[in-house]
Amino acid sequence: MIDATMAGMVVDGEWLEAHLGDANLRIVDCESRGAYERAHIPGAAWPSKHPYKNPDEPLHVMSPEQFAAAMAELGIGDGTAVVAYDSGGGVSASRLWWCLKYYGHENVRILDGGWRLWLKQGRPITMEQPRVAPSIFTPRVDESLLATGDYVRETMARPDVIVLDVRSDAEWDGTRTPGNNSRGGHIPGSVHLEWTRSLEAGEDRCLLPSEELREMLAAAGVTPDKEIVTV
Amino acid sequence: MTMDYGRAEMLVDGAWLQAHLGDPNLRIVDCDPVDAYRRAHIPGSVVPRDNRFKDPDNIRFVMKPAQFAAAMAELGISDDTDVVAYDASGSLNAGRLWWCLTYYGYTKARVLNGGWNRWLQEGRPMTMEETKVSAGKFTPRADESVYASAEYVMSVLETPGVVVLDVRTDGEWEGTNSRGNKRAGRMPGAVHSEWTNNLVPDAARCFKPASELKSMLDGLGVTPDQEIVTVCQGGIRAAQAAFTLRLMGFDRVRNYDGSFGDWANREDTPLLK
Repeated sequence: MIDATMAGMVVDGEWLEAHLGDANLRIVDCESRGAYERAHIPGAAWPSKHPYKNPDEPLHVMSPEQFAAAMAELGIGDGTAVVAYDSGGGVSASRLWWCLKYYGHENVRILDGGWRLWLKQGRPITMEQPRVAPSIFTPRVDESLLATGDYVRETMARPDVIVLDVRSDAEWDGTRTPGNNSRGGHIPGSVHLEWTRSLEAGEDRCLLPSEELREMLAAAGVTPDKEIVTV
Repeated sequence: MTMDYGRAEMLVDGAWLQAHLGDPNLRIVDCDPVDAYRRAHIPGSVVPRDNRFKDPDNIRFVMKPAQFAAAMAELGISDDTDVVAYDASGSLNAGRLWWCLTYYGYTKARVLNGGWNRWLQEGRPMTMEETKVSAGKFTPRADESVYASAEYVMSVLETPGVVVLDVRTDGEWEGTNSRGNKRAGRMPGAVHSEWTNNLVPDAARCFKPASELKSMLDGLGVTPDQEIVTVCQGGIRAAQAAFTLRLMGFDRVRNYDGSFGDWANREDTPLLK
């Protein structure tokens, strides 16, 4: 559910449907290729480079050149308005949102409720893939949005910094060590709220209303006067 | 739409399927990969774990009877279930399920003409809700008359009364695309028409009308008085072609299930380039 606090970062289906023809708009479908080919929002493009990790250093985000090329492939230029969606509670769409922000592109929003709600509302869908005109994307790194291992180690004990761990309970407890991690556990002093807690409980998986989000975050000590590092 | 196919009952259209969506004995199978199914599908449809129905221990060939029976049971398909298969791939994967069912003695599987593509174009109902089914009980009864092995194909090459119909791409047929096989080329005496020629070349990808298919097949020398063996790389495109021929009323049609993945990796099989 979108309210005034969120406006500007999130769009709903009604808004997006009314803007489908906008020349300056690029909709990005952040799911698998198979899902995209089955059906998507008209005009949506599919990002072959999702989730924008550096192939030479897959733990980290793409280099500026790599990311600029990935955006050019989607027809995203410096002046493009981007709306990202997925059918997984916004998790993939948010990844694109963050990468764009990190590379200095402000005009990016997420479709609340994503594909799931769009389909349920009976809005237009297609199998047709758009022809994407080449674009020029200029990466302008905003380091204030990135935390490195060193940064977290140096700041985790500061009273004005909160490390917010959004992994599953089992990852937090250390009973599950995904991927190639050689150790399990959590960062000392961090707080834990799994990322799915930001979503409404129903099948639509929209964001919680801002009042509920604010209460939940405040209860965990996550308040806007602090710097928050998400992990 | 012209429905003067020899076996028109092998196809259903969207209007029929939509009217029968609630039928308790009907099982609709979405034959595309699982991520496509999860994005959206026809209400009540199920999706197979392996849409090629190949034997995991011998990947070039169709599942063994017990494996296939288990795959059907998981989809809630029993001996008396009505099956309608569809896909968004030009009836390629749906044709594969049709052939596998036919091979295992179940002869009444049907295919949704135009598949997902036309269903979507026509604005028919769809859902993301995954269908829960109770297990079926499927009895496999292999019908070897619809199956071709390499040995069988070798025994009938260049034999009057038998036509080998190769439905691969031009590059595979000419031998410029080996598909990773040890050898490349085509079988002596085979005729060539890519499987996509069976479809209307538009976004819906329905089967061509019977009259068009007939003149195309006549032009290749593929006629119903002969036995036809369809071949491709892995017995999937060839299954769609076998479906098309049966639809047209042909009685004797075999799918070379191993196809060039088998033929062109052996040393004892003839190949022309």
